[in-house]
Amino acid sequence: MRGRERGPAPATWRAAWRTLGSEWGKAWSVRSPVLCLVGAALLTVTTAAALANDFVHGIAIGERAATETLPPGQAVGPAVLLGTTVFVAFAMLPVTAEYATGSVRSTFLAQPRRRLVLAAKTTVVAGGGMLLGVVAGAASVVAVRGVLGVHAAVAGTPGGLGLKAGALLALDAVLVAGLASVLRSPVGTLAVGVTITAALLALPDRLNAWTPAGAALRLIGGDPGQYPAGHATAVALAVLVVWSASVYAFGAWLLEHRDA
Amino acid sequence: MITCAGLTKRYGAVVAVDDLTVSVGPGRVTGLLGPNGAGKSTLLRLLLGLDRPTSGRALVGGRPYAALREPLRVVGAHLDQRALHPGRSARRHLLALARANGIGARRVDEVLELVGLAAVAGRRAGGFSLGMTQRLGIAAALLGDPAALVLDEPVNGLDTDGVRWVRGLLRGLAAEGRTVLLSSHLLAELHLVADHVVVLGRGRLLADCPVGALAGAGDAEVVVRTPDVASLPAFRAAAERLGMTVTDRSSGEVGIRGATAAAVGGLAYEHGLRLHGLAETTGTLEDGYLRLVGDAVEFGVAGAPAGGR
Repeated sequence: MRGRERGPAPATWRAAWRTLGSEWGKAWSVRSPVLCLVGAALLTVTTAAALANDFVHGIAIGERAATETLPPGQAVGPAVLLGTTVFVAFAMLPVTAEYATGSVRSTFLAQPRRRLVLAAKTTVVAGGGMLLGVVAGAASVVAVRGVLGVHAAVAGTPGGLGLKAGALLALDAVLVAGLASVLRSPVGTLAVGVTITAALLALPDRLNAWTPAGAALRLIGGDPGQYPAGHATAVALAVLVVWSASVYAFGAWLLEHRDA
Repeated sequence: MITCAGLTKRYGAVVAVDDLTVSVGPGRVTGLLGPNGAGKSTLLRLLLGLDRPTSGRALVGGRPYAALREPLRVVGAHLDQRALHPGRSARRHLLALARANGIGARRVDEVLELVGLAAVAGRRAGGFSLGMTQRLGIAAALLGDPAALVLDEPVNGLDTDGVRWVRGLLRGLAAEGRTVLLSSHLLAELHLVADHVVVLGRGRLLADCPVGALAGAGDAEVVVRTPDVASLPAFRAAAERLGMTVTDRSSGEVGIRGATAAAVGGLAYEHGLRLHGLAETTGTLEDGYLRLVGDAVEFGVAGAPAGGR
């Protein structure tokens, strides 16, 4: 007779809502998640402003023409990518911190439907990612425009780039939550997570275009590269969705089938 | 009611739990015993849905743990005192567990009061002593006012007062008709609190019986102490002629099995043996456990006594 012939009880909306409430409360009852979000926001905005300042400095010293302009997205894109390296720590925390401290056993005792637990954790970090992306993305555009002054190109509004950054970080959060369920280890998840979401940009363009890092830069930076002209945003989002959904699905499957 | 039927768990080539069939009934405290590696912790994890059985079933209240909609209301468990985030306060830790089961904040405050942690409920659990952490784990187990409790070494780290409190708590819960399954290495403590014992060895069931049956499995011993060491051999020979088993304990002291204290005292009187001590010792759970484990699986360390004192 095969063990667990009666699987987990079917998830109900009430159970999902309660689990989400539990995970939401847990996420904000310790300091680390808030510190990670604040750190990621500061890193993003200051990096964007620094990149804009480099551009203005280039004009001041004659490296660039005085009439040259910079689309804010080209400063915000790399800044968001750098901020992602800190954001990964936030996105992995609800899963990896529980495995590191052993509290995952308490969690699974309170809610044995593990897919529901992972979905709730992912919702919390994806929500945090969306909020961070919108706020830090919009703030970065404002900062970049402030630094660039007359050298700012017209394209790239705070709202538009903020929404793109929010979507990017929400999808990255889904990917990292799934990855954390696969690896469980904080160090391993951070290393692999940062590699996938940011460091794969080091690959040649024709390859990195199909990675989350490359898609992120094309989504926000505005340079479509290998993507079909006019469809860069859609293709970038599609690449991110495929990666996130695949890693998440594998993580959820492993979580359900492995011993806690 | 907690039941296992043909429960088996393998980790590669290692069989941690081997075709185990056992029931833990309500209204009593059941002790789970076994040497290290006997499969006790694995059994508890299988019962609570943390590990998947290789084959067989583990049911709580007639259902697998994973099928329970509000598990904390059915079975409360405390397996590991480290199963909490050190940066989270005791109250928020319990609140998170309670929310997942639709349990209100008032119940959280009640159990914190019950375990004596109300005054430190806002403090981070990472700063708690081992005893406080144990109390917090017990509070989590009691959150849903469950009909069954599964506790693994709940008195480790508790002071004397805490141990007495846990003892009274468990006896009270069993008296209310709840199922209490308690794993512990503290056999003297288990002897005081448990009504029934389940003993595992190498993943197999060695015993499933009342505590008294295991503790009294060997004969009671009568200890005789005399200053007349020279008279002892004659007394010893007389006792052995009557079928008693005599073992030397120390100079002037022997242990006698197979007779009551009255019979031994009478025999000493008949032989003019002056006594400074005549005491009947009853078997302890430790005696019965060591005898069982030693006889059945020979897990003892080389040279260590496996069969009682």
